[in-house]
Amino acid sequence: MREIDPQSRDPLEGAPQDPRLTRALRGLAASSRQGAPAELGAGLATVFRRHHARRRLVRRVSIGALAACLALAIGLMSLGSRPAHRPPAKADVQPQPSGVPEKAPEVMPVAKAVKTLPQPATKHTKPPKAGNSTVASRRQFLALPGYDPAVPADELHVVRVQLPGSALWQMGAPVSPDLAARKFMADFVVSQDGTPYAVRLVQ
Amino acid sequence: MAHSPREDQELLRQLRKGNETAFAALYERYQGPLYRFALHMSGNNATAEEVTQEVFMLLIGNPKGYDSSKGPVGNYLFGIARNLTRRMIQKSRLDMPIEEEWLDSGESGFTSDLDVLSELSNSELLEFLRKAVLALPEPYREVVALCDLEEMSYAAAAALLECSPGTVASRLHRARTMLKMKLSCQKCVK
Repeated sequence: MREIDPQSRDPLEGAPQDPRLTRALRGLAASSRQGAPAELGAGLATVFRRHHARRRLVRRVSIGALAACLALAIGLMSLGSRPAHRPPAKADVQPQPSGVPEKAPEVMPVAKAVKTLPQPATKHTKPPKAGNSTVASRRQFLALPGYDPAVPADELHVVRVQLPGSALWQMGAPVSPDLAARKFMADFVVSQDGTPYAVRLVQ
Repeated sequence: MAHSPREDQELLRQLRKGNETAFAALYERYQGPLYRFALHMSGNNATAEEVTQEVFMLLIGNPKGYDSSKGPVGNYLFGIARNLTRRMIQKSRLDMPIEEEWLDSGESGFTSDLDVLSELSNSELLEFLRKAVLALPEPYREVVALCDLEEMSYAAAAALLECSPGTVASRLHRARTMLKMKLSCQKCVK
């Protein structure tokens, strides 16, 4: 059986210490410098201040940039939702006038229609005759920005007008801006209130 | 090290937000112990200053590096200081391990009474002791620096050194024995 030495100490309580060694170690601790010099603390405080000032600046700039990006995105989205004029280059392309009849039921100029069309040279003509409209009929109507596919076909009319190129271009007809001064003969599909829905250049 | 961990965590939280007062408070709490630990480990004021500075620079640059689940803020800071000190000592080759033959030869003629301590003058004793502490191998020097010089509890030192309190106790026992032997040998030489 192992004898228990009353002088021995539990290692967890502490290693056997010589009081003189303990005193000497305490003396050594006391004689050493107790902390970092004050300049170090001041320097670190400056670094801290600068670091956070820079961080705050970066945060502000990023928030500003984010806000600008959002504003730009919203602006672009609102621009994109506006009805835009068709580019003149797409003269031969017919995007979606499937609901627009090739031949309107009646070809009769409507008073309102005249009003809505641009003022210069609103010369209403009779509907194209079979022989006369061969060239025109070969071409297809091009939908204008105001085109509403919900309007029934029997409420639409074809009106032939002569207008300067600039007016046609402004309405979205496939006319080059270079030919702004030249006059064109065009068929417009108009609703009963005179809103032009589609256009077809005749001459 | 006798600060409440919650208080320290709150200070660190404020520090992250850029509160300079919180930084100053945390610095005041820990700069002394960290500096002294590095000083006792390296025996060099410049190294101790550099370690202290680096610890707080890291804290400024990356306060989110602290994970509260891994222990108190103090342990985290001491952990950084410990690693930095080790690295610097290795770099400057100041780490001079105790010569084993010297230790072995000392065993035979060593008297546990340590009469030598009473015979040395105070300044001589401190100088010898400083050298003796610096000559201890790193694991022993760490426990002497923490438990004897910083008067930290075994449990706290064990938490810092990531070992059990029993290991701390046994290392300390061994370190003290080495110190006594070293001092008695100095006297013999003298």
